[in-house]
Amino acid sequence: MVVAASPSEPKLDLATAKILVVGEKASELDIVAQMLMGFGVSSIQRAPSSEEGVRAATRQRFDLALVESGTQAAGGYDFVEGVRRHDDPQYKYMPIILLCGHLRKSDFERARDCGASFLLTKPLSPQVLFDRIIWLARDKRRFVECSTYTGPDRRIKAYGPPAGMNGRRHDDLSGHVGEAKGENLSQDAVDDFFSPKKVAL
Amino acid sequence: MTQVKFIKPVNRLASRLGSTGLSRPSAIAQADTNIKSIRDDILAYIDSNIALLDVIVSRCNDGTAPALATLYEPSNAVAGTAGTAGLVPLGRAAYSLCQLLANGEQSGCYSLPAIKLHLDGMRLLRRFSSPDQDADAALILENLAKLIANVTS
Repeated sequence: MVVAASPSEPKLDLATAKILVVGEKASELDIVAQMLMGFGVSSIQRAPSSEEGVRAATRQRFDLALVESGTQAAGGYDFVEGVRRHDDPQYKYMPIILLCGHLRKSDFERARDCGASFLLTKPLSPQVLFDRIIWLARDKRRFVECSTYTGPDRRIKAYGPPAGMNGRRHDDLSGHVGEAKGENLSQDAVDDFFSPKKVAL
Repeated sequence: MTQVKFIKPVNRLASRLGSTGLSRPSAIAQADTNIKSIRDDILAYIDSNIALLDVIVSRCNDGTAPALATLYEPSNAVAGTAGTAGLVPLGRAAYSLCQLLANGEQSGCYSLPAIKLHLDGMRLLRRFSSPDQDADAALILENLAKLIANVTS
């Protein structure tokens, strides 16, 4: 089915991309694989465990990996850490999307610290997965390597909540400015902002 | 002192973005079609996990924590897949059960009646397929949320 797109929208050519999907549940991997095939991917390799995933990811180069976080101790986090700890730079910097369902408090830190490029909460939708792949294709973050962490730089610049949405943090400001509550500044006061002067205190 | 290195690796996905390939609407439409083609398999997977939840709950009427902790995996499986099959309220109820179980794991105290009520709600929501039932589904979810608030307070 071909649907018209706006000319400014970029296209994604995944026809020759190699993608690795890692997870223990075949049914959940089927969902991911069907979405990827819809995006035009023809080469999808599956790994049923994090160990097998690391072996596959460090034997050949993949363009992207999608890994189920899982609920067991040795889940997808181990896969991400295993790839990021590998010596060979041609494998260790691969973009990795970590797929999570419900996260327990103990899982939050592992999800944050394992070095995944992006964390995506389930249920998955084609819209969200496609947008995240586009986001990763545009990702210009540096990788940070130190004794406790290897992965994309997690420090991000906060631009506030999207227009028309309320923020989730207590200190998020609304995009709506509203009516002025005081008198307008005089022109002199405005000029002072642009030409600060040295004052003796 | 911790040594930190900053590396700027080549983003191999970047070369896949351009003027050739699939547009967003085409890719999403095709992915939606593919998902619809395996919807029955996803539903079977959801049903098998709900059945597993039933079996585990029926075996642990004494409220033993180790047995109840094993409910987390199948409920997480339902939470993660029901929405993709169009059963969004069922996924939310399963997510609520995950939250209840995670709270129980943290406090070491599980509420078996609250778990059973969640399971009843999930069985009911699994049967909902018409938009006419949206209000009923919202009511079930609202009551499950109240239940969690009562159990954790």
